[in-house]
Amino acid sequence: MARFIVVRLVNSIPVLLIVSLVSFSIMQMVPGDPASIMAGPQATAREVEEMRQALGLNRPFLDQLVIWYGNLFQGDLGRSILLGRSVGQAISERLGITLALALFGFIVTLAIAVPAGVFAALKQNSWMDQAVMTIALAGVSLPNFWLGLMLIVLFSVVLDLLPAGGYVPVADGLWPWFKSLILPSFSLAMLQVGLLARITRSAMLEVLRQDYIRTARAKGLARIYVVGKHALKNALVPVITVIGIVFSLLLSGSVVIETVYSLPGLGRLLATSILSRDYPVIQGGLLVTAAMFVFVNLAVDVLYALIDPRLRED
Amino acid sequence: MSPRITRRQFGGLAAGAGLAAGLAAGPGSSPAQAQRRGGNIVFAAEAQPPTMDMHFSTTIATRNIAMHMYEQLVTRGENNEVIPELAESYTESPDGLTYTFKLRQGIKFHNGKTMTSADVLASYQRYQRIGLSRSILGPVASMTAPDPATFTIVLRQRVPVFIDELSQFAVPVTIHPSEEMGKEGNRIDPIGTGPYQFGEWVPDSHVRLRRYDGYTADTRYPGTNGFGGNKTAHVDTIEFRYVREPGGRVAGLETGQFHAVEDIPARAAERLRNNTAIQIHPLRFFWQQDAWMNHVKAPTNNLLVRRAIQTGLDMEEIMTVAADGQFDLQPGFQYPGNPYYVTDGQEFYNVNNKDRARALLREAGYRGEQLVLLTNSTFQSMYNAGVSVTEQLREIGMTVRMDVFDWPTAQANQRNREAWNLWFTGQGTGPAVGPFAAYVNLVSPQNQAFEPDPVLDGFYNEMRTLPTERERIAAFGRFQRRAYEHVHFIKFGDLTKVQAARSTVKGFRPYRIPRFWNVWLEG
Amino acid sequence: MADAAAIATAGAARPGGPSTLRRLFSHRLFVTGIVLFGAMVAVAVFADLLATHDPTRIRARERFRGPSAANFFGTDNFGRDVFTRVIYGSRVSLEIGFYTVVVTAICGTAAGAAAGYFRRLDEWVMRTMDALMAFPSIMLAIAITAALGPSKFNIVIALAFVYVPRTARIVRGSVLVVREMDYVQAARTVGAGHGRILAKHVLPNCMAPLIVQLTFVFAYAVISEAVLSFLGMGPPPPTPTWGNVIAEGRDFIREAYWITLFPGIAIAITVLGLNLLGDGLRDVFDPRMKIQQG
Repeated sequence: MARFIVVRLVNSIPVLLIVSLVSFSIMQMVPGDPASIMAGPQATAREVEEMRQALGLNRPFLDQLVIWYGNLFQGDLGRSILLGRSVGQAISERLGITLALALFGFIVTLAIAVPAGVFAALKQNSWMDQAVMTIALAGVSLPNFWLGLMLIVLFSVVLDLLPAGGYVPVADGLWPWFKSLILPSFSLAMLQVGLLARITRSAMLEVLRQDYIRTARAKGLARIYVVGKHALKNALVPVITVIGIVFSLLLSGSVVIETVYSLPGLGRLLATSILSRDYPVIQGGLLVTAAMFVFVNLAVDVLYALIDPRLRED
Repeated sequence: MSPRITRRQFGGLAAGAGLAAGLAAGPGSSPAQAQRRGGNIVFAAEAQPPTMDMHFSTTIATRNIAMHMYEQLVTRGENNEVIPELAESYTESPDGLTYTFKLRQGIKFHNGKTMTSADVLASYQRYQRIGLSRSILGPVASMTAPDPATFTIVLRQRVPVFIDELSQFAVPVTIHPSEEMGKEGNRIDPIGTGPYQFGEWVPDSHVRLRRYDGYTADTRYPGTNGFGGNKTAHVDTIEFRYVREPGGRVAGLETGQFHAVEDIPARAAERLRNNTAIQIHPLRFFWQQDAWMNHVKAPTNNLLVRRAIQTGLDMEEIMTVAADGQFDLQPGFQYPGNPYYVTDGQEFYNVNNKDRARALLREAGYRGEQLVLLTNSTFQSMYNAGVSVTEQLREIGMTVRMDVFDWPTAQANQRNREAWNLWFTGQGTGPAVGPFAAYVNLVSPQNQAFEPDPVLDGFYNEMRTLPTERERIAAFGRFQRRAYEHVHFIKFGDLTKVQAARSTVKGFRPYRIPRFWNVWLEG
Repeated sequence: MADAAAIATAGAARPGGPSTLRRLFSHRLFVTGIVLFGAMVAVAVFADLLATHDPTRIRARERFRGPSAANFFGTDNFGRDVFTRVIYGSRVSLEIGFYTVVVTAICGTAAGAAAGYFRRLDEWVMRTMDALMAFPSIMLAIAITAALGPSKFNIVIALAFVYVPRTARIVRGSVLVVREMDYVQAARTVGAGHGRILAKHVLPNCMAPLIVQLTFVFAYAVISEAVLSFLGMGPPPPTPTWGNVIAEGRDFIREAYWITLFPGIAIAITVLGLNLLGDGLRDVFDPRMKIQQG
């Protein structure tokens, strides 16, 4: 097991190096620079050009690359050009919100998707099965930012029940904090609900076909007991494997959802930094997100290998 | 049509009043009733500040916040007149070459250090080195601090408008502790002498300022006077919250979540006028919406094509969509009431004659060469203006391509003379910007049009150097006429910026930039 | 978003043939998908006939009109007819989806087949694909669009960067299975060249999972165009796309919800149609859904 983990860790190093090189190169190709954002609409092109120099943005590509990697290997992601803080600080300030959002999104996803999937499997091929699965598919088909906007119209403009956006820190009260995350978590979850419900359904179907379930049923055990005790437990195994995918979806979705709901999370930090050309933040942010993604997948694989030892031989 | 809309909506401000002069009660007005200390004011802003370094930015988002923290030697009063702020007094030598500033004593920075002329000198030196509008310090021969209370500037040549330019607040020469001034651009700690000090900045969310208890009020004035005057910090904290969506700002204002907001959409403003808990403050002539012309790239290298564009456009339609129905149509490059307001060249403004435009295109020998409009998706009014102009120019038979980029890319393309024919932008024309800063891009060496116009350069030079204001205004008239005749840019109209505040915010007087000193919360 | 595509079939059923078609058209969800998606394609093709107004004509006096008989979906902040813009928007949105599919199919197949068939390339190709997949998909698309500039063509390139790795991985998986099959081994023994083996034997057997995957890529591309437009990186307006109609309406959702509502519904119908279609194809090609992982 230890060897498996080490091999996977070593394998992820080239991946992360490529990630950092790709993000660095892309950002170097992007025209425009943070000086124009800082200077604002009334500054002349010439003034901005001079400002670039004052900000040290005129260094050649290779110099910047060497400096960046040099700092990176010392664990330093550099300093934001626009935010007046280090990239590490900017990211760590934001991480909590995104993780809270992802966690809530995940809980909502599980709470809806697993029962729906189980239900559909039990009623396989009935109209109810098809209805549940079509709704799940419709959830996957909605652009989540659009869903977010529509939920704002419904729940905060029309019904006036929930805030339309903005983040309330936990320090300002648990309930207001929670309220500020309800709509975002739901908007974020809708995409995964469809995905996870379908996976749960098919995993469940497979388990229900197994002999021991048939035996248990034949023995006259209560249906609810069979489903709950035996089937569900086994059906959740493949579900674990998609946690990696769900996590990546949540991170990706957070970019848009945090923008729709004005939440100062990591996704929004990345989106605004791209629009304002804050290169160090973009590079650091992409690297950190990619690293999280790689390590979550690694953790999922380890978990899976623990459950199913056959995989370790591979 | 639309100036009428504007006036109907906002209840007829005197046309000649200008915004600051028209809206403020004048320098003498001071809050008289019992002011309440404490509380937190929340202001919802439409954009977030790109920096806290005022030497580096023209953005309103930065100014909204930073003008509570920083002060200048000389600034502008309620009616746009030059007034001393950190300077006790200033004198100009008879030859107009030496300016001597006596500093107020006992002023403390937010870090507790007492301000001396060394700090002023260092701040000015930094501005001269890297400040965005350092061209205003271009004529400076030397700057010295002969004693801790004195700061002098010696010019190489006489510049009659020098003090006007020093006191501008588009990119103000703010005073910071000398030890900060050696730092690289944008790396300074936000330390100033103002009544509020920096609290925290959470990007994408808010900036919070705290009352500075070591503030020394300027007792020469009875109360608020423009950006200067006698300032008292009543509330404990001011929070500038970034709320991008206009509807969100309005909703927050209505529920009381926000105390004051900027940029209210026209339809919401109309509704809020009936709400006694809220006061609407339209700032007319806040911003001039326009597009600059490239004189080098075909087809706009041809004056007749430029004239055709100028002649064919319907400014009312452009401004309706660009300014969301809140605007004025008038030909001057300054706003009515400003001393420099002239109407020279008005026959070229808002002609809106599509047939004549087509005739001009024929005369020009225009054969469908592609016209490239360069606009951006960051500033909504510029984007909207671009959409409208594209449609109108297609109507007179031009082949138009509209390029839309985010602001940094758009500005990178703007530097390329082959990349565009019309560049969508705008200028602040309100108090303190004046004709000099707003139009410096038209003349050498900036040369927005990529081709020097010696005639225009000459008029601009006269505007700044003729000895009397009357002559300078006349020069500005010639400048404006020339800009129209040669179509250096196309003015669309003047945008009205609408601020609003809840009635519980006492002592709030609208100005170009919201001011929260001498302001307190009721109840 | 695209990661859902990682769930794919690994079966080796060959598409085509009369029985497959018959099974497809008796599959209720597939038929629903075809109808929904087909309707949208028809809207795009016949946009000129269906439109009631000029999609870019500005009417400054008719801004923010609610839905009515004159403007079915109301008007936007420029006074343009939202119904007409949604109709014409289908063209650009479907075009972007279609070209993304074409580019993804070509590049994804090439990379996947190379990695699966030539084992020496495998490590390098797949590490690069892993790296590209480690980016949050939309961030990668935004960054590339920002670098190349927002045009239809560049958005297709950006989306291809997102979906090629996922597609390549699926093709590689199928190739790995197929290349060990007896008939491929046999072809190799009789001295068939790599190109011939790939073209004649390996690739046709990867078609089923590839087609299913590309259906989903089409769906994600339509959504991604909208997301990019929403974040200010979409195809240049004033050409309407569903994404930029929503983006332009965003600031007015409280007072003019219709600008945002209708293009969103159009996207949902298209994407739902494509998803149903993809599901149907998958059911018919290979009833057992496999989950690809790692």
